[in-house]
Amino acid sequence: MSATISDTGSTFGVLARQEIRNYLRAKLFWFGAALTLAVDVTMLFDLTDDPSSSGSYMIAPAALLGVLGLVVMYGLTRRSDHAAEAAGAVAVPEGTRTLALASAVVVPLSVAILSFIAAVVTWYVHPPAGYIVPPGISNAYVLAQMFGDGVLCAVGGPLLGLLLARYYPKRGITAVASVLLVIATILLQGGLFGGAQPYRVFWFWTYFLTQSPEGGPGQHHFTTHPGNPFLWLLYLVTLCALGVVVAVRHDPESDRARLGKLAIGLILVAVVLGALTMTVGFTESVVNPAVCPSC
Amino acid sequence: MLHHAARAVPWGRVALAAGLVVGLMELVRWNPWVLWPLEGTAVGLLAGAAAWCFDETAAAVVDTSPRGLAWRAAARSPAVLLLVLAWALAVARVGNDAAFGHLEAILVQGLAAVATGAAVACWRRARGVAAPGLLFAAVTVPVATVWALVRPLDDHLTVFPFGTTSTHGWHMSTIGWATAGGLANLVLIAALTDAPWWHLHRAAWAFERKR
Repeated sequence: MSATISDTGSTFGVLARQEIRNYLRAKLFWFGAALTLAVDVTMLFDLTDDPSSSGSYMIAPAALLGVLGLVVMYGLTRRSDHAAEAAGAVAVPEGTRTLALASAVVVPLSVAILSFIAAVVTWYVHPPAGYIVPPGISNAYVLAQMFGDGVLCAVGGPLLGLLLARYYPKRGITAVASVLLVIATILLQGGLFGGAQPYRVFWFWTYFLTQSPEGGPGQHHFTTHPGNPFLWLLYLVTLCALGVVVAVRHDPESDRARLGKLAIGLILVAVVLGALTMTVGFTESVVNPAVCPSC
Repeated sequence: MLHHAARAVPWGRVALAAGLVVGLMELVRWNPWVLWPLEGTAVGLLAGAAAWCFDETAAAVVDTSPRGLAWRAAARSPAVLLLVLAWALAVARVGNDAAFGHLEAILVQGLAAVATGAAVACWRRARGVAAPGLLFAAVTVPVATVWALVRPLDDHLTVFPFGTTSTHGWHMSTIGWATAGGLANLVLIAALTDAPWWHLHRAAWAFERKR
């Protein structure tokens, strides 16, 4: 028995390293990583004179590593499936291959963490203008938003690609999925409608600090939107774990009953964390009284 | 030819893409300051859908048939025309105000994207690839979408200009798109007419492979 466990662990390790190498060979990943780092450099050296400092940097890693990561991971998963089909009766179960593919997210995660570090340094070296952060809002609040939108979404995108490849391996699905993902994200980013959309925290990507929708050009204020960004981080981590469990559960040879219970447990935890994100600590918008002259 | 077009073109997908393009531009019209990135998504979708129109999954059969690539591509062109009409309608509905006063520039972006998608697909078909549009769309649509969202290096390389972009930026972007469209048309003509230089290039490539 111990020999079997050891063999399984070894197979997983070999496969995980292979999938990490495959992710690193993806041109689309390097395209996204290069642009993310280019954005980081312009931010670090303040080449664009952005008054919000790095307060809105998150769109770069989320889109360039997350959305493009969805395409990369979908391709890797389909390639893994084709290789398994070509090999016929294979010794490695689909669940092990899925876990190995999921481990490849360390690649975009590493770049996203580098980008986050650059954003934190920028935040302190080139502080934002006085009209950006409302009174009483801490730096930790802003950094939590940056980490959730910038780092966890760079991991969540590839995991979404893994799920799509497992459950909806259709032609052109990545193109359609990326379009729908971006539409939903723009609509739920906050600041688009009145009423601050407190339910938006259930989406993968949203702003907690942004400009208010009220007023015309030169009349906007920066404001927080209802929601606790610290709890939201836990919510996003739970969603990532749920994604991996659901992807592994696709394997007909897996222990579906146990994984199903685990998935239901994670869904309940996510719902509770989402509700807590809406209701604990930051339930009201905090508006910066200073007008944003560049909005 | 119409019979070929009716059977060969993935009309369902083309209609879906055309509908999505119109829908995306309606969202842009509703709130251009916030939803402008969807204009870039629509342009990417046009390029991907145009490329998809020329996929021939039964390439092994049709490549040996008497009908050449140019004839088959011409037969599929009504699908491209549908995409162009959808784009023209969508841009016209957006109007000059929501387009930040640059309606023609936006029209050029879409037309150049359609030309580029068609050119890449026909060029790859001429090289024997059966379904190049699928891969092209799978990459182009997400890349155009994230580029329009992030607009990296926008001061130096304006691909999808925004309301805050300078007139010079809009102008340079339009020149870039028009150039891309012009080059795409040249590639398309060369691929479909099996131009001599093109043929020589393929012969040299095949010779290198044999060596």
